[in-house]
Amino acid sequence: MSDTAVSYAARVRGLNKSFGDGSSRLHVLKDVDLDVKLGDITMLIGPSGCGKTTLISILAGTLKPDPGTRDLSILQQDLQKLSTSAITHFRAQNIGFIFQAFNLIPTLTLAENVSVPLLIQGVGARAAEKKAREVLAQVGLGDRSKNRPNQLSGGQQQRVAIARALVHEPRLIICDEPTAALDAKNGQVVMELFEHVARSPERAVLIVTHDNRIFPHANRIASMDDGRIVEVHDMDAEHPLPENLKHGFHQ
Amino acid sequence: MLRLALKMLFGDTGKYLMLVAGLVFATFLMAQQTAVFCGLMSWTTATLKNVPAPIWVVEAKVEQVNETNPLLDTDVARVRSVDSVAWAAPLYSGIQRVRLENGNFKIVQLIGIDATTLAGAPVKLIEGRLEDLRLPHAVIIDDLGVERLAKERGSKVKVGDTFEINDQEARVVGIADTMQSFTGGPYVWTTYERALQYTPPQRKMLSAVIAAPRPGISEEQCVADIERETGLKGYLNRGFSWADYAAETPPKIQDFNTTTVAWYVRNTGIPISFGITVVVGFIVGTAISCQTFYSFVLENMKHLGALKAMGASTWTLCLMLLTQAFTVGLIGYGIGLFFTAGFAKGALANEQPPFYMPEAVPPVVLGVILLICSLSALLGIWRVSRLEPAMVFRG
Repeated sequence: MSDTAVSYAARVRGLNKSFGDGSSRLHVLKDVDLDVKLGDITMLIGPSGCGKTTLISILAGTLKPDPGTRDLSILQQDLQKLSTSAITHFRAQNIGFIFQAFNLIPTLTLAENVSVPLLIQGVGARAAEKKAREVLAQVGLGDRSKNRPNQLSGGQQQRVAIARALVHEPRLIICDEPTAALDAKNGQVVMELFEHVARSPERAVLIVTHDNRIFPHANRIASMDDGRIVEVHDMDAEHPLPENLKHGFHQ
Repeated sequence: MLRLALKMLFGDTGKYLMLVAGLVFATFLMAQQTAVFCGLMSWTTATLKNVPAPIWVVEAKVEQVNETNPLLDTDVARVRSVDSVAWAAPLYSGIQRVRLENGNFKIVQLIGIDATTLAGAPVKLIEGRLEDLRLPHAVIIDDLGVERLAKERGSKVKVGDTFEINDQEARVVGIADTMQSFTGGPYVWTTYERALQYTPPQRKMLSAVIAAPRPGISEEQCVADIERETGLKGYLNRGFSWADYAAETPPKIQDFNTTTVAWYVRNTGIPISFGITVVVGFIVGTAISCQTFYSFVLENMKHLGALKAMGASTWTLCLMLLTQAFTVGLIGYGIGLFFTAGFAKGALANEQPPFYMPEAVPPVVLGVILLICSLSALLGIWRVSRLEPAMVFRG
């Protein structure tokens, strides 16, 4: 196994994406290069409309890039070489999702909601719910597995979404504005919990966010503007959060 | 995943009940109206069921059993003279007015049969003796007549009671269990000669000749011989045959039940009237089901999008929608058929409205309901197949 294969969950080189044709063609991503390392929490930040959502959609395999992209490797798989059904299967096996609006199914219990990724993989209902209850316990909701989402607060619902993203032990977790629907206190609680249960040397977490209060949880912050990655900060004890990011994303 | 699909369906109580209600309505209307239509059509052949004889001989232009084009009395002898005929007997069949003891008038279907052989007598007597029909003024009425010909509402006609047919006394000597007539009047049996006395005189009075073939000779052969030697029209009496009815070229020797039903279908607005109701059931069921299910799919689109993003294939999502659609279909069909059975129980107990459900009706209605469900699911499948999983990130 090469060093690259071990270190990177996602490697993107020369990624372009356009929408529309002719004069209405909109070039949304322009020659994007990005590395997402295993073991890291990488945050993707930038103003609205800069292309963050399009980029994570492509990294998640839910959207195809323009032809000519030099490299689009996710967990050592070149997504450009996979068929649509193979990408769907790949997503089910390797990627966990946390959505801004939680997207929990209101008519299902928490255990059933959390078991969905396992059911998609073909795991039996009983085994899936057993595992779901274990993961719900990890996020502090073990005693509420039979409740329904509308019986929980926003913060608790996002904890269920975290459990759902983790239940099938994916190697890449993609989060879209995970704290946007939460107040400051709940946002911090959820991020601390998330960091605790999701961070692993074998897993990468990619978070799209506007919320600068959660930046300190990141190992790496990539700033986007006008479809390009304009700045990447690697953070550790010697390289703390830069001043320009303490009060918001790259200006 | 299919179990979750069902939980999603049952969890949305409002839409689930609306879907089921639409399909119950469609099932009930289609099954019940078809059965009432078939029941009404079976009533048109009631005389053939109540006057059992394997062969009916009538005037050459007669197409259905309730149409009488009288024959000469001598035609009975002509039919008897055909070699392949074992026996032949005269039959009078006509509508007459009965005057009850309280002065009220009722319409009855008067049947006159051969006094010697009693050929054409009712098959099942509930009370009395068939032989008593030979007594003066004797008549046998059916179970419907027990109530319809009673002196007052709530009372019942008993053996020994009397009423008048065209100012002549009729004394009840027996009560028969019969199928109700298409005209709605009770059946009244008497002897052929007495039936002619009860009926205003005409030059020709014989409605039909009933007959049977000699042993070893087929009914078809016997009918062919009668037609060839007498010039009259002969019919079999075996029961309605869908194959004969639908055949491009009808068989040379026809069944009287089949030609009677065909005549009513062709010459009355009854099938169109019932057909329109059945079509309305289909259209309303389809409209409610499609609209409600599509709205259900649209409301769940963000969840379906999330499932697709998480790796559920389009095929899996389509299977979920089909499971949901067919489940409400089967539940709606079951409840609809249960209501139809309740209606049938009441109809059969009261012997009206007419109700006869051929074996083919429930599976055909099930097929139509599943077709409605497929159409409903198809709209959702069309949306899901066009659903981009990336939409889940766009909010």
